[in-house]
Amino acid sequence: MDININVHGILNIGGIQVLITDTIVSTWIVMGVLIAFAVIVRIRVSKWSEVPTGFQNVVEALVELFENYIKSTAGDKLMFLGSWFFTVFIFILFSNIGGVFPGFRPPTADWSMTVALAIVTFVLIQVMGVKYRKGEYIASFFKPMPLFLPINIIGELARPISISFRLFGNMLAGLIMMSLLYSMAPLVARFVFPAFLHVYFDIFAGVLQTYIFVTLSLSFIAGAAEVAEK
Amino acid sequence: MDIGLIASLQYAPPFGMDMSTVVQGVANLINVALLAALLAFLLYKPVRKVLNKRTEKIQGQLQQAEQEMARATELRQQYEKKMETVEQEREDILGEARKQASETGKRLVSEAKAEADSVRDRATQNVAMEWERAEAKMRTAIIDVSAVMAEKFVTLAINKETHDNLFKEAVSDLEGMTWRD
Repeated sequence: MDININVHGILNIGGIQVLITDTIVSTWIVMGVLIAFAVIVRIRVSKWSEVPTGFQNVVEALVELFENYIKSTAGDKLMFLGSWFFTVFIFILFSNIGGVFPGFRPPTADWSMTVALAIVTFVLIQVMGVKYRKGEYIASFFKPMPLFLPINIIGELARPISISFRLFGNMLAGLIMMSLLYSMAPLVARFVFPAFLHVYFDIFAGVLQTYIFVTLSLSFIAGAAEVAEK
Repeated sequence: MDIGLIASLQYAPPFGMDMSTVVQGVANLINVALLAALLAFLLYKPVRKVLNKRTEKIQGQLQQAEQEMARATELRQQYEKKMETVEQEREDILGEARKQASETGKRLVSEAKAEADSVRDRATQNVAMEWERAEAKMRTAIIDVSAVMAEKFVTLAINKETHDNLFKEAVSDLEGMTWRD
């Protein structure tokens, strides 16, 4: 297992070189799995019965559970963001849990991925703040006095940086720990024992960090839009 | 657009935060945005549609059930009201029947009493008549007996001379009487 981000190719788009890194490949793998799952759902959804069972039950429960989670975290007013955060949640979750597969480098162990997601959250915070609070939101940057404007701006910028580093740091830490184990531990210790560490670093920390990232993002947006939690 | 394969090439670490990081970030963002659009189209929205449709249907059914419940409650209230009226009517009918029965009873008792009085009066009259008849019979019998006894006594006590004297006295009495129209 390698903690470095390997480059498998370069994509040249209008003079801009996009590296086909481990992160991009892993992202495509996760995307492929999720899109395949979504296609199966899309094909089956027209034949779904009134009383859900089996696969239908799982998918419905997943969507409903997520909707309730958004409702309880950000309120009814921001329910239209459900689709985006559903994707973010499920993508981060699958990316993190994917670490249990050998050779799979979680995309979330790359800061360029977590910061991209956090920037969307940052943009949503500003857009929702202006949309729901208008001038009052802009004025909040000058409170308690105009002198605090730089501090408030730094505080605002710190949010995406903070949540992106939290997720990235946790996942990279897990990746480093597992890489060290696989590279340094005696051969006999590379079987069975790592499974417990994978459960902790990839599944437990993965689920927890997914939940934290999405919850913090929703809370920041709800706070900016001043949507009271239910 | 050309793809070049570079084996074992490692790009700047994440902490480097150079232009490459920005490009990779944008690429990642495009990937996730594409995934979000596909998941929304293929999974999230269709499932939401199904759930919303079902929720609406259930809400409709609940609303219908509530309406039916309200109607049933109203019918029950009407029924209870009717039952109260029926109870009142029953009480009235029973009261009326009791009253009529009481009046009929009184009337019957009164009629029976009158009938009894009439029977008693008739019996008293009969007794009185019988009594008078018996008295008359007794009187006749006494007269007859007296006559027989007198006859027997006279037969035994009167002789030829007494008989003649009596006859003469009677004739003289008749002669001394004046004829009156």
